[in-house]
Amino acid sequence: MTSNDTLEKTRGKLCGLLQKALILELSTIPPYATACYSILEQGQYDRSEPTIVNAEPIEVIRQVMVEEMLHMVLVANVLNSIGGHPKLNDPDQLPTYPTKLLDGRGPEVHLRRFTPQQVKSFRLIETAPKDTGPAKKGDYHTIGGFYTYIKQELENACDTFGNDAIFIGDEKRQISNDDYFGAGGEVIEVVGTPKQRRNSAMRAITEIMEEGEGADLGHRAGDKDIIPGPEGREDVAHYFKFNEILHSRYYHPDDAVDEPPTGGDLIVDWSAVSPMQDDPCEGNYARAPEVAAISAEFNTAWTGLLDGLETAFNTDKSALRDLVPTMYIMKSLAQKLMRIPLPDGSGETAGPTWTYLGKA
Amino acid sequence: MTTHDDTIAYDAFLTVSAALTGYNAAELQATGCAAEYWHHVQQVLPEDILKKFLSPAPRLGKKDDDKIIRESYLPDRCLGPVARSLIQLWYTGQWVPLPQEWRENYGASRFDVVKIISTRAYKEGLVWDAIGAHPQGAKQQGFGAWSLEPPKQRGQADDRNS
Repeated sequence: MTSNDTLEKTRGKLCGLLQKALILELSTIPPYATACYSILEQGQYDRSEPTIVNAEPIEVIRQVMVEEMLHMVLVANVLNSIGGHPKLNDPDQLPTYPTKLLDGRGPEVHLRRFTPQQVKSFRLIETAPKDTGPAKKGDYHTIGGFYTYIKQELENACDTFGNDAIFIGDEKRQISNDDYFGAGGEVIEVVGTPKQRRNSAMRAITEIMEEGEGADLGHRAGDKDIIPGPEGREDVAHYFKFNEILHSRYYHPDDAVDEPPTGGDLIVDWSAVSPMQDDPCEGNYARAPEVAAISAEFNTAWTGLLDGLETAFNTDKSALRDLVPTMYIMKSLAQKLMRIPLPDGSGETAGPTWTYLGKA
Repeated sequence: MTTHDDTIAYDAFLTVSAALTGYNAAELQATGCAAEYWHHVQQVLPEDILKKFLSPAPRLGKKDDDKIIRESYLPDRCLGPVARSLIQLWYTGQWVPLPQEWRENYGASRFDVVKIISTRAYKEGLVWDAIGAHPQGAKQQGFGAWSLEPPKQRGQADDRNS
């Protein structure tokens, strides 16, 4: 085998891992969005009017969601930088729920309404690995562990073949802050000299890990990013955000990572939630064509979103901006579904199935 | 709405509402306002009139909705104004009081006053969907939405009734 073969084999493996990471980030969004939209929404984030039902948990989950979207863009940028092609509309790779993340090695996620149990499962998704040693060798069971492995493999590949051999992707494919709608933070472009590209790629992966489980923040909950909310509030990683909801209390930025939050009140009303059925599926709408029609409308929008992302990452970056209205349409349709009682008389409502409709 | 009769009456209310608005029962429930509108209508109408108002329900939802509405509801001195107020309620989220003549004939209710039922009622008015717009100050469409084609209007191309 020539060294060129080995290089391409390594590239193929790296692309495969990053593609999995892309789908992994994508897979977290439907469960988070479903729980968020199931909360009976009365208003937007506003501490001055605490009577507004559940505005705070809605805002906390929304922040996590948009950061997952940013992570998708970051992964796509890294994948494009090494000459890969982000794939977002291959039905064989797209998640159906319930699903076990990381090819069955990770936690199982369901589409469920906003309940303590569901938020606990979100917290599990964003849990930091206790020891990154095994993960570096490919023995990972958490998202953080998976990224630890990817980072290690990318470092190894760069060391073995040289940065210039690895970062061969067209820089025109890099999504910049101008292309992105600014949700969840700054995009990192993997551009410049091979050395700069390597550094940017590593920085991108590190940012994903920090915002997710927040493993490497030096035993302090805050990550120094200031976010909207009570004056000067620092952002915390997703794990901690979900913990805030469960404890009904915000973190103080200097709180220790292994202690409960000690900041201000975060008011959660678990009863102001739509009684959506667990893991909604098309089969449940077989006897309710009117519900099936709204569900199909939702899935058409979801399909358009995935096709649009595929286009944005591979051919036309400007497609990304057009997707913002699609996401609002999906929110509205999801909320509609969650208000319609199922015909089975169970008292539960319909919900979005997040089914991709194209290219069966 | 716990007893059997209540459920039947509520379903009838949805059926009549669907015929009057042109939106099906699922779409009406999707507004999240159906229960509070039903509550309001029960408060405003005397029981016998409510019963009469819902009585065509078993015949609705088939083929002759338009005919039934034009014959049984709109020209009726009692049911006509109720139907018109209910249509406006679904489309705008606002209850429009029944005319003075109606009150003189059938009695006035202290609940029969002009009123936007709730903040949600405003946002979920069918009018916004019908005109392909969003309620001002709510349900934002997202950056750049103004550059996209408006959603398909009801009654065009893939008309559900065609």
